[in-house]
Amino acid sequence: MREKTKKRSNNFRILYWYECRKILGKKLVWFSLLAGIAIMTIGLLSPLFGGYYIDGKYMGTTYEMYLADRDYAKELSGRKIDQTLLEETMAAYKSIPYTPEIHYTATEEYQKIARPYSEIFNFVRQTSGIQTSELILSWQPDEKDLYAKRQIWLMSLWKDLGLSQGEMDFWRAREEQVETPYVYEEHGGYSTMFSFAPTVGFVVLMLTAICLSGIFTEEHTRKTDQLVLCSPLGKTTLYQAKIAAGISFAAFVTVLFSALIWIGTICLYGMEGFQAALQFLYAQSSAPVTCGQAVLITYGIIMITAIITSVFVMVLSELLQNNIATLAISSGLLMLSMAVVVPEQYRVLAQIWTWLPWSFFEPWNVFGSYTVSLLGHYFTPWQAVPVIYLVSAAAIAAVGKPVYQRYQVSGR
Amino acid sequence: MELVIDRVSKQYKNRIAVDRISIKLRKGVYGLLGENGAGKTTLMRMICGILKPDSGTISFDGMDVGEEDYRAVLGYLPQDFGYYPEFTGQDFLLYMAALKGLSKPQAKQKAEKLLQLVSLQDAAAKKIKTYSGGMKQRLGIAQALLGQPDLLVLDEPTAGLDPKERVRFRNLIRDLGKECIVLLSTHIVSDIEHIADTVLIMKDGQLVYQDQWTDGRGSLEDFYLQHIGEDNKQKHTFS
Repeated sequence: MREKTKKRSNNFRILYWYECRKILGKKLVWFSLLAGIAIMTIGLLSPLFGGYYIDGKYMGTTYEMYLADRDYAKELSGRKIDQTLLEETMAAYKSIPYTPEIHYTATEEYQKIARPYSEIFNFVRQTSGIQTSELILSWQPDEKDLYAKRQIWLMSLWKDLGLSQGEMDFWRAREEQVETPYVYEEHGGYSTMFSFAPTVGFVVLMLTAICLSGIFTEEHTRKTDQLVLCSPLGKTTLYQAKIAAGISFAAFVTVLFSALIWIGTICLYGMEGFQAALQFLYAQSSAPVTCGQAVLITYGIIMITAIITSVFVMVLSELLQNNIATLAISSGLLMLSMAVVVPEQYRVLAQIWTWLPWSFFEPWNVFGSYTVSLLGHYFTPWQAVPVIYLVSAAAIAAVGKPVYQRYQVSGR
Repeated sequence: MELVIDRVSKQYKNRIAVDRISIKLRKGVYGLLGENGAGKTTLMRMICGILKPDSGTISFDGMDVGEEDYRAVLGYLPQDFGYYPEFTGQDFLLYMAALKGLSKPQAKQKAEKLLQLVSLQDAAAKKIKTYSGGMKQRLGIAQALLGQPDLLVLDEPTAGLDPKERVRFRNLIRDLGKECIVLLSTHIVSDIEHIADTVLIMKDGQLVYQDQWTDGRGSLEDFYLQHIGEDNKQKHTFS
């Protein structure tokens, strides 16, 4: 008998493979994946068919407008946003006859003279906090003033967020690391990938909840638990294999939808602009990273968020013994994150809320200004949260293990 | 080899399902009889470690029921067991073999042999959802035999089998009893009469009869009905 014990194989890989097969063998999983692909594809292709109107006048499809702007942007690629470019931009914009009755983009002057500089104008507006009307009517192009205004604007945002002096000093130091004057790069592809991140995150987490909420409970409802739990590897190795298979599925779904968005975006919008500063995508951030890096970080965060969600869903289903209740709680939390915004004055609560898995995958949270301080060092959200998530996922899995192992087959 | 059940009890709310049962089982076939609700399945589940007793201990050759090594010597066929509809019969056996710690080549070899033993070799590549009730039952018997168990717990193993198959499996169980401990529960008294070395009768959670059964003692069915009937008669008298 002892010999039998010695000869027993671990079989983790075999069991992992079977668990993956069990997940992928469900029709629900394939229907959900197809629905997700359809949502992504429609979202991605909608600019090709959606019309662009100014004051009710059809100007072309959104995509045609984008292509026109991209050509202008490409002409500006590689130029520093310095005094010269600011003067050119503002000269073009000041030629627009500004009246409150007509939107400035509807004017001929805008379309012919100013539009080629729209990317620079928008950047100046977004990165400094200066209002559009003030920019056009009264602002005199001044490189130093622009970057000084940005500092004032950021300081005011940080104060509104309730950042500590240490955090503000930390971000100021990061801000100094960002090379100025900014060098403009056409970055339409990365902008699209960035703006799709919340949709990808939402769909991935929703699919994770739908497809994994039955991974443990179905063993009980199908009554296979009697066979599984009385087998030598059924209480330990199988638990690990199920968790690993669930995590792999979540990772697979993330890769699938990320790849779909990335490939579609590259085909439609190109992939120029990897080196452009993140501030072109998200002006409120002081992170010294490029657009390309920001996109990689954001989608990496979605992957880690999907992993912790998968573990949470699987363990919750074992705790509740009910996949419908698990699905209701998981999707409810996801919906709640979209509906509820914690006011900034409740700093700790707001930070916790935005860092929860069902909120955090949104890029403005990933590159937000809240930090975690540890031993005198400040860690940015994209540095701290993945570590917190991975540790939490391990802790949740550890909590779920005894619950699974102690399951009692009774009744029936 | 010895299975020791020592003062094992289990209570559900205000009903005692198993009441202080103590017994030692050695190599051989043990037939467990009892009415519905007598506590047979609860006792078997506790022996298989999937239901924890409120009190008492269960061990096999010194290994506690909660240990992985204990589960390694166990083969279990539950009364109403589930399956994975998308798996083929062969997949199911290979999966169960992996759970029992068999290596891949061992599992493949053993699964082929067992599929042949339960006459499912021609349906091995078919999905279980296409199987009839009898075929599923035979597959269940096959999985219980994976890993050459020293302790085989069979809850209604011949349910759903046609008479010819039933006789075949009866003989198979009798042969297995020569090598290991077989505890089987059934409502078909004649099955136990033919193959059990020892008869156990449960009533209201208690083991009310435990002895060897020999041909010379007459009909087990009559004995069993008389045993249960007497108690029922008493019950009616008291009520």
